[in-house]
Amino acid sequence: MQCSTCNEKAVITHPARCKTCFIHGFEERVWNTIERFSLIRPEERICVAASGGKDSLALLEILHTRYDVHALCVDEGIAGYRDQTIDDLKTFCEQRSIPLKLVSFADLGAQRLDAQNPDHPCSVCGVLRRKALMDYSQGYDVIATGHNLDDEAQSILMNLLRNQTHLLERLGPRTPAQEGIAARIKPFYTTPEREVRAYCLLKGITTNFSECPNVVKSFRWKVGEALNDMEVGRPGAKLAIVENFLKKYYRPQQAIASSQTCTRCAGPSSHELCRACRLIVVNN
Amino acid sequence: MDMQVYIERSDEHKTLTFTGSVQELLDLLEINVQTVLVLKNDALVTEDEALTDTDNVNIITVVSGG
Repeated sequence: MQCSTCNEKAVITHPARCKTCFIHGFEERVWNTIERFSLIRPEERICVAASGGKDSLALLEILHTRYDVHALCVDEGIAGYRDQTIDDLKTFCEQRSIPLKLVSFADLGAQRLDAQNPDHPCSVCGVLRRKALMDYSQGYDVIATGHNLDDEAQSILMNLLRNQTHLLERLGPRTPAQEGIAARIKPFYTTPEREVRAYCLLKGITTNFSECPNVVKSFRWKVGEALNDMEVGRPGAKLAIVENFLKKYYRPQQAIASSQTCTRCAGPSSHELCRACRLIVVNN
Repeated sequence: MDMQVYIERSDEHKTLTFTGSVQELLDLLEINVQTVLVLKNDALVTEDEALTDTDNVNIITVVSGG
């Protein structure tokens, strides 16, 4: 198969692109996404939520060419997985002179994820990671995450399948800042996960690309598999889900209202204690 | 000589007698193309790429989780 732009040998399909045209197109799509959704505004201080996996490394690789970015990594405590991605992240940031801050669940007063051994590790991990990012991104205007098209299509579908349409308003490429909490942005919003991996491969970005050992236990995993099956028969299905969400639900300027604040951490919460503090209290 | 195939997700090495396209190999192994990238002799290739018994094939996983 030939590249549909320059006629060189293609390395990827939908559309067919050679290495050079793919890398150029991949980066252009990220800049276009930033512009389309006004993800980064002038003078905003940017913190990239970096796990050391493919998504965050690719994001740092691109953003650091135009912006003064800092990286913030949360160590959840997953033996045999996170330790290696953190080492890769440290090396990556050192090579590019990107300042890196490393925090752990212990900094929140929580136990390592391994030690908690929860029934639904991804749910617990997600809540505590968000809390850590929120707490340790003070002083920044935006937190950029490596969430990609697959992640977003999964989140939309998961909320629909759980009949939680009220939670859809929390999704989208830019979540507005709330008092004391930076805005969250997703520059890979329309970028398929498969292409992120291809970008890392072709740019020579090396890290531990193994799966999180907990990922196959999650509802997200099942939804992701269903979406991948669908994408084979209907290329563009994931993008169609996300574009329809944008038309019907996305309200970029609307801050998410919390009815009260957490009595323990003063963060936004709809209960006396926020979900993260409930987890921390229960596990201690 | 047989084709050497490495499947990253299951950390599995296979030796196959196979001639066909990348897509046909993935079909044989029951792997969804959306979940992997395929390297032929260390170069990323598309699904229509022809494979022969002399090739080294590396099937790398796309999904890594946070």
